[in-house]
Amino acid sequence: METKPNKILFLVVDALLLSKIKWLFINSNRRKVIYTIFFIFGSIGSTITAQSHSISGTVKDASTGETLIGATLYDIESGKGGVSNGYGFFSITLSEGEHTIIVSYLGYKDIKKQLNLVANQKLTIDLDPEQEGLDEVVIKVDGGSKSQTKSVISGAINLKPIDVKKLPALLGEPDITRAMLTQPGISSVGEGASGFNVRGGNIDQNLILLDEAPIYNSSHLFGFFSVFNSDAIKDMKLYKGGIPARYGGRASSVLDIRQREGNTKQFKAEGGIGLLFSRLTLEGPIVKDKVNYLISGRRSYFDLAFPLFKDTKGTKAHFYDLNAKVSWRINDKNTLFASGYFGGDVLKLLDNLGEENAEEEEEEEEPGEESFGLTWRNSTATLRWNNIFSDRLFMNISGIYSRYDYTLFSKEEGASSSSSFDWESSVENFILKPDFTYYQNADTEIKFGINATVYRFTPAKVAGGDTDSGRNEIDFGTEKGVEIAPYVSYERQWGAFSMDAGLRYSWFGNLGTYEVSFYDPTQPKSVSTVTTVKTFKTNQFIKEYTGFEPRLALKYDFSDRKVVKLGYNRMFQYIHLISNTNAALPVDIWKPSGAHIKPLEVNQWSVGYAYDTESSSYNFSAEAYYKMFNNLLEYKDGADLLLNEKLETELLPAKGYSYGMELSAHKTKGKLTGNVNYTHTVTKRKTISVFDNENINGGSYYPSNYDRPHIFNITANYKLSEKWTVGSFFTFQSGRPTTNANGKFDINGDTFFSYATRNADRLKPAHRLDLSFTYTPKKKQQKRWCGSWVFGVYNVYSNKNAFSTYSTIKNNTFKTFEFSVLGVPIPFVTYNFKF
Amino acid sequence: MKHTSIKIVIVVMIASFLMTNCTKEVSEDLPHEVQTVVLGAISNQTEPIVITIQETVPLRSDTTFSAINDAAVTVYEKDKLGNTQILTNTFTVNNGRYTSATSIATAIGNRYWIEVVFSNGTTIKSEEEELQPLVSILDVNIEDEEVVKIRFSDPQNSTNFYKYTLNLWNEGALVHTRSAESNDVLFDGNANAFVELYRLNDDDDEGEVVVHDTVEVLLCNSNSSSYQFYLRQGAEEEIIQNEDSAIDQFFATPPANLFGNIKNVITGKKVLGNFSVNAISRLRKTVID
Repeated sequence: METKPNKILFLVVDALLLSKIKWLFINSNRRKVIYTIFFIFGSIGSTITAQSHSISGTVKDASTGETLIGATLYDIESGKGGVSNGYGFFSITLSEGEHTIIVSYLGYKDIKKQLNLVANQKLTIDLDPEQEGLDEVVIKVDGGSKSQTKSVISGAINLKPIDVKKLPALLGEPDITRAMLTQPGISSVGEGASGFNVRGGNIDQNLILLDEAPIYNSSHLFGFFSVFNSDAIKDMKLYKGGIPARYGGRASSVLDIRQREGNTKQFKAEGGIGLLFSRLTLEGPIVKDKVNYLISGRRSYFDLAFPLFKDTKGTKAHFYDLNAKVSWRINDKNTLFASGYFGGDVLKLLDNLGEENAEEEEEEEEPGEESFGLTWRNSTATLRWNNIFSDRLFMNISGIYSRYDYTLFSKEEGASSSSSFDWESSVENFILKPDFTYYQNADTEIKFGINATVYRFTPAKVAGGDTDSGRNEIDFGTEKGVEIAPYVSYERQWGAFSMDAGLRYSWFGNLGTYEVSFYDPTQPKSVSTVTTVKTFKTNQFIKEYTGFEPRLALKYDFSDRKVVKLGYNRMFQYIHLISNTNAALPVDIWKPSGAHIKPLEVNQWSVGYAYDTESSSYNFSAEAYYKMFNNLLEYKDGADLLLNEKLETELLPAKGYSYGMELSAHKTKGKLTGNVNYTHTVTKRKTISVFDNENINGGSYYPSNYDRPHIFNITANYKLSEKWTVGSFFTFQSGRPTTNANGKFDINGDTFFSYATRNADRLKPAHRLDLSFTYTPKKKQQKRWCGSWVFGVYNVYSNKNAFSTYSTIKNNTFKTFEFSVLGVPIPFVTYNFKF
Repeated sequence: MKHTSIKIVIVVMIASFLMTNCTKEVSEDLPHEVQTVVLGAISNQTEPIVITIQETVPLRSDTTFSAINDAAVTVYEKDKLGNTQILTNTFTVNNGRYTSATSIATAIGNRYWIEVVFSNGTTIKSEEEELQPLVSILDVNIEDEEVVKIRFSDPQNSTNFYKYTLNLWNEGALVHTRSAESNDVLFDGNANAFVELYRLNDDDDEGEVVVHDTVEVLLCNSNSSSYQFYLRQGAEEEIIQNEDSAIDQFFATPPANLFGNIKNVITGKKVLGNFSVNAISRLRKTVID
């Protein structure tokens, strides 16, 4: 039954896709521009392709057969090179003759290949890991691994699971979101808050992709842990400065996470046993070097103890993740990948029967008769087909499904069921995404493709009791959106100059079935100023938006160790997370741009400088940026967002800006490795309602909730001995803005506060030190099993970092409190194993 | 023995994780900024109108009420034909409490507002709000020791905004009162609409039993802006009076001034407080133990 509307949606996408492609070509001027672009791209490359041949293939881990993303290939003779793409594929075109290719990758031994190039050549390059064993602490790594000198794009951060695992983590669980927070330009509103903020952007401005499928809620336990199991992850790349044209839909950053494919050679298992949760990953070949799988699971288990106690019997509180992937290498030119992620949080509480009477009540009523619960889930499924059309043309087509949903329920069994309800909300994506890369020559790479996404938003469906229950069934309808975005990007090097120029054209349509209210334009939007209500039929357009999104990155190499970069991006975002709380909640809803909500537009300019020392032991970078935000959403004071069908009555149009400077230094060789970074940033907002009296702070600029002017982070790892390694992380951050009381008054004998202007005050600075010690016994030669222990303390010196402040008044005594989420040292121990 | 030890370990583990959040008192106050506060209401019941006018006081002041006694207050009415008249501008003033000299009769469907002129010439005015139709309480059931269920018929084809007030009386004296608010999204047009309010007859905030013999329920059909004001007032009250509300901060919205439907006629700047126009129905029920 469920498949029918989905099929219809795909048909709609097909029809829209065709109509939009036709639209691009129907107008003769537009057609000329497009042909000219392709002509320029084609002619630039073709002038230098004579007497040249390509070397193409895949870079793999020799021990596991896993493809390696971002491995660098360098030809000593010509000084030209390339990088393996997201599927491990590479292609470089070189002149006929003798060549020496060096292939390198973080944590692997470099290899040198001698080639006599007389025709196009295919290569499978197997790299051996630098050091075998579980701990994988890399002492000698590729010097360019953290270097910002090679990539044209500025502000890109590449993290490997090994980087994440080396960090001291809360309760010993390696966490990708927390690892991101150690990087410059990235912050959060506080300890345990969901998501992260990039260069002044809201958390919904980050496109988080897991095997290309968008993840809508990246947090477990309201924000304490991320949904990504580091054992199942191969590679993470965060784009916060330059964002390539193939990405779009969110305004501030892209976090592209790729899952591992699994071992193609032999069965392997690894896992970890922690205080509150454990994980296990199984991988291996189904048909050796042809078909392989990976399955990885994680579950928290502190609720397994609940049945032991009378007061917690029937209560559930846990989260889980399941990552699965199957890869089928059909032949040298075709590979299929099917992957999925299923994860969620489950909270179920029994109604409190009253402490004193609990014993007597239990005799009369079965426990579990009244319950309240909240569950939220992410589900994704990705099917990808890699095809190597030729030695120079690589194609990937992805079909993606992603869903985020939550359920809030109250169950009251027995005589009175009037208080029972079941509230569901969801956002779904259906994505079709063909991407092509054309390796024109050693200096030129052209990427093009189209992204087509269908969104389905179900803001609220509340099922009540029976017809006499006094409660209505609520269904706000299903609002749909279609986003179609063709793109092309051109990456080229001219001697010391490099350029990555791209253009993305995005079109978004907001479709029914949906009921839209229209308001008296002379008054602020409210329920009482509705003039008409129009019902849009299924797939009828409510509103359409379009926009060109140019992307430009320029790099000039003063030498191979000193570069300067310039960048410009424009991004449009057509979906918005409606959230007005200190920390985002799992029950916040997503809303598409439509009749009342315009697409968010962000323009960002950046300039950077990167420097590597001669031995490449140290990598330095400095980057400054300026971002302008148009069509931001802000919330009226005391906005009532819960089950509100007319959300626009609680929203205010806003604009803002953010600027900052990020300084970073990496040490990548020796016993001591790590990173020191400092970020200075200013992020401000301003509401721009035409009705002055509803503007926040009278329409003046004010700091955004996550404006932290100074952030200083140090990450350090030191190898004490063959068996012991110590890891540490220290952070110092300015306190975030807050709104405090500055007076009081009386309403019918009760005291209330008057407040200063929004975010006029600031919390105290926050700082914290985390430490971990890893013990790895020497692995016995004959045994497959190897294990390691990680001991550590989170928040070593027990600093009570303020998450927020609040004031109370009781018996006319005024008090202000600071609330800290994790105000004590939290020790942890984890046992990791591999066999 | 072993089983007991495991249980202790588990309890300590869970408790240590859940107890990691904490609060500490701080003593930094922002400088006080004086603001004017105007509060009042008019209803379908023929009675004198009461409006309080005060200004805010510093947070650590011994008093909470600083009366303004020299303002001029006028209540206006506009009928369905658009004719405007002054309903009253004669008030007796006692410590910031302005009470109309006469009882004021109102009519469903007419619009009402106030205008206040201060001694420095500043004039403020509330939004014109309509007196909504009366929604009668069908029944009040005392479901168990804790819950009072109020049944009523929600009007069809209109969005309604309600304030529910529960008064507990004992031997003719009001001993406890509490209120809640909701719109009709859960029961729009439902002839069997209901809400449930906690009676709080076990303990009051001080941990003492609230003895009462009568439950009184007021169902107030209000307007959108006044409803928003009540909603925020209720939320603010919960936070302000609860020192243990730390964990709520995690998901709290930014604190905001209790601005309602009153603003300065020249600058358009909002003023603390609200002037509500409410249709109130009332039902009393004797509690039988």
